[in-house]
Amino acid sequence: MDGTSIPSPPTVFVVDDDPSVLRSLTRMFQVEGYAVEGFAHPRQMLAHGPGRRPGCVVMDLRMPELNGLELQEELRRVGWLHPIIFISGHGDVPAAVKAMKAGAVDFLPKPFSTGELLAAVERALAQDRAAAAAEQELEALRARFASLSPREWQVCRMVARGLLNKQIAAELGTAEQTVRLQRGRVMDKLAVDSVAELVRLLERLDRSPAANAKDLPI
Amino acid sequence: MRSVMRVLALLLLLWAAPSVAEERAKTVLLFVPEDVTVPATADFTRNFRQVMQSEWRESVTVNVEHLEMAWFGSAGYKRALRDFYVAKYRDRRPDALVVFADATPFALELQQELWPQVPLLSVQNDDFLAEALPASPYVRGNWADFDVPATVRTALRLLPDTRHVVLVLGSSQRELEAWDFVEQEIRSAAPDRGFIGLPGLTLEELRRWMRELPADSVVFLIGFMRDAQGRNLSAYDVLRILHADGGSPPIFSVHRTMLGSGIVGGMLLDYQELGRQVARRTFRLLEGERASSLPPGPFEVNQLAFDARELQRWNIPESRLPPGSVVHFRQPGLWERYRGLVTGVLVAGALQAALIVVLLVERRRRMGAQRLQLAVLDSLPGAVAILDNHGVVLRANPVPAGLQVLEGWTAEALFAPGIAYLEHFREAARTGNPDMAPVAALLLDVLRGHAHEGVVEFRGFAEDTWFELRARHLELPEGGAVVSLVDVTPRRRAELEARRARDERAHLERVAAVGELGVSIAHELNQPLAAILTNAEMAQRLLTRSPTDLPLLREMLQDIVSDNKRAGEVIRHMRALLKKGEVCFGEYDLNELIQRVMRLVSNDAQLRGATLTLHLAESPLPVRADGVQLQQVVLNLVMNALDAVGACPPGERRIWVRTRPLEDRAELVVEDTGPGLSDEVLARLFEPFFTTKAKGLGMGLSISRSLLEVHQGRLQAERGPGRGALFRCTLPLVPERHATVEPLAG
Repeated sequence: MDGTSIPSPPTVFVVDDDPSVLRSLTRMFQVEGYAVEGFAHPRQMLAHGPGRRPGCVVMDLRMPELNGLELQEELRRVGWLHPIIFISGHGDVPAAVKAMKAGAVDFLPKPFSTGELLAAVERALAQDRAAAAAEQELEALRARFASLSPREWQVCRMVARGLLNKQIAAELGTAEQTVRLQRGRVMDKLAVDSVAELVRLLERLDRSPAANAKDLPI
Repeated sequence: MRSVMRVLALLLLLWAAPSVAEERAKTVLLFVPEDVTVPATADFTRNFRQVMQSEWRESVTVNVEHLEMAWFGSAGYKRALRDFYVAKYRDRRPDALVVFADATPFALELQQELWPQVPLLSVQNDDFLAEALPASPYVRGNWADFDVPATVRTALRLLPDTRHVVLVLGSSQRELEAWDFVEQEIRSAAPDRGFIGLPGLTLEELRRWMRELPADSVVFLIGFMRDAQGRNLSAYDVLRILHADGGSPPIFSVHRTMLGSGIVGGMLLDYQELGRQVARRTFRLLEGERASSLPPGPFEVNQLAFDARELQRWNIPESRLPPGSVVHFRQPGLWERYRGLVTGVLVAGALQAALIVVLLVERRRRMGAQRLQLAVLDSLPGAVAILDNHGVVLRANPVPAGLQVLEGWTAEALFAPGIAYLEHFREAARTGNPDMAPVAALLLDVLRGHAHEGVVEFRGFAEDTWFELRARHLELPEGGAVVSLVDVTPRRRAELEARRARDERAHLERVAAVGELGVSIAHELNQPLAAILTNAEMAQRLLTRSPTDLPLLREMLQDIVSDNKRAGEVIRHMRALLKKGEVCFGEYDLNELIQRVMRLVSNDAQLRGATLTLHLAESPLPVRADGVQLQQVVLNLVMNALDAVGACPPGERRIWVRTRPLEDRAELVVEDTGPGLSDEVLARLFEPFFTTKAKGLGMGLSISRSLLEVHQGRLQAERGPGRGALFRCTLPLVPERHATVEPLAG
């Protein structure tokens, strides 16, 4: 919540097909001061659509039609990025291992104490905040790169490959003087002082999960 | 299956006062290497838990972790398991660790990492394994091992003419490693007998060998975890197959779990006793004693035990058994034993009656032959009397002494000339013995000529005795009757015995079925428990705030109450199903019973990805039944269907349960989309021990059918209209006029 966007309270999304468990959990999170959205059926949550406000998901591992693991997969597919905490009515070792492997933050066997669940939720929210901050930084980085013209992009990539101005000019079929100018503009727009710094920025951009052909013409 | 224990533990937790238990309860964490379906593991775990729960002075929590190492033994699995336990027990330090056999190395690592100062008691299979454990004040290793030499010596003592001793051991890694040692043990315990080793056989080869062994052999079946083709088996399964084949020499073993399935006996390791002893030793750890100060050495849990039926089969007199031996299964079916005798007596009785009638009819034409007739009557072995039309004895044969039929009246005294036979029964009926009313009524009917002949069975005055009275009207002008009295106690006892055995089997089957459902029942119970805990903890928190939100608090408390009721309902239902006992008939709505079962299985069906569709008759179907038994039949059929559709791809696992009235009967149909029934299966489906399932007992359908027979019901299997199987069961409907349906007794 230290970003530039308007801060909103984190939301806990609760999915449990058991009405009394769902009611007790939503009430508990409300009392604890979280925004809560409860879903009695996994499909309801999918229909709700992904949100990008800060939050996390608490879901039952075993539900009708879609079980927790399947819902986790579906949510990721449609763009939910919130960390997930699984709760389960039976200490099923293989399912727990699978859930953790698929990226769940925590796995709590029912019945669990409120303290345990709240601690897990706080861990999940911290993770969500860290992810959001990283996302924001990346966004800014992308904006910087987006200001480059296509030709500047080409020059930028070649500089990063370690080519000399002369070599770039030969490859692009332009004058060395032109390349020098374009190179200066690239360094300005990206606000970097050295080739090493430029390479580091490019690497971060390339590593980011949203990197795709549209953003990166070469 | 693993969850059975967990469910039981939950039940116990619920009965204890939860708030007190949370603060003071000690926790014992038990690691066992294999699944709970392995018989030795099951025996050990169950008894360990029972003793822990019943003999420890305070409440104690026993958590059992089945590592399932033989089935999922990869390094990756162990790492995941370790991560899981670290997460699970991060904040819950147990007070003692108990480890069974091969789970030890893993548990030691976990102890090192999580609870270096929590004492650990390991129970190994061999002394050298126990002695190889690291020396530490927090570790104690004991062992319980097989006594092969004692078994061999005992076998030779029982069967002194034995010329060959045969060793059977399977092809699993452990068994291959053990071969030389076991062979040496057997050879030195039977020095002057020929040794035949049967290593590395397939199951088929073993079966052939068993039929072809010399007649003077004795077989020692020590283990058979895997055959030469790599098929996973157990010695218990192999024993049952060999026993069914017949023709094998006497078999001895070292496992108590195998007694009763075809071994003669031996020095048997009793895992139940082991579980109890280990539990009692664990108490010392809970009292704060150091692990290293516990006694070293073995647990003494081997016992000489034998199967009476096998002793009889091999003509071994019990006098030959070593002192201290225990003999089990001593009742080889009373009915079988007495069937000939009883039938003989009955036939004789009928012949007697007929003969006398013939003689009496003759009397009209040949009065002079009277003396002859009476002589014949006297010579009859049973109790026969001729009554006049007032029910007074005219003549009777001498009766064997001692049988007390009515209070103060032996058969001997009743069957004497001049005795008011009818009156004595009427008197007994009047003075409060309701069993006698039908006897008096029959005598009266026959004497008055309303009935020609009749039979009635009644309880004798002495405890646990039964008599059958047969009366026949005499077609004479002066009227009268012939009555014969037979002591049918042996037959009745045999019948009771058979019924008790069936109830016992049914109970076991029910326990097994509920065990299969364990996972979903645990889920069912954990839901309300989770809601209760959350609500209760939030209520506590709310109470510390001001102003207190009373309406919210009230809402939470209401929810706690209703969730608690819901958990209670689950438990009550489980207990009703698990209850062993007398058949208890009442009137039930078949639809209602089916819905109760559905509540139990729907979770399980969901878990297995099967769709259960109910088409129940719109109006109630009142039947007269034992509610629990009938539910068990439904449960069996549905669980079978669930097993059957397991082979189908997801989306094609469908089961239909339908009911409808069919004239004066109620019909229940369970249909599935499974692989269906072949001709061979269809022909043998209802035979006991016939099963198509890898882990099945093969008792479900045979018990279902015999339970239904008690209800005048029928059960048949058909090929479904689709490719799956269809089970059709019908029961008589209770006539409309008194169709009041009782709620299910809890």
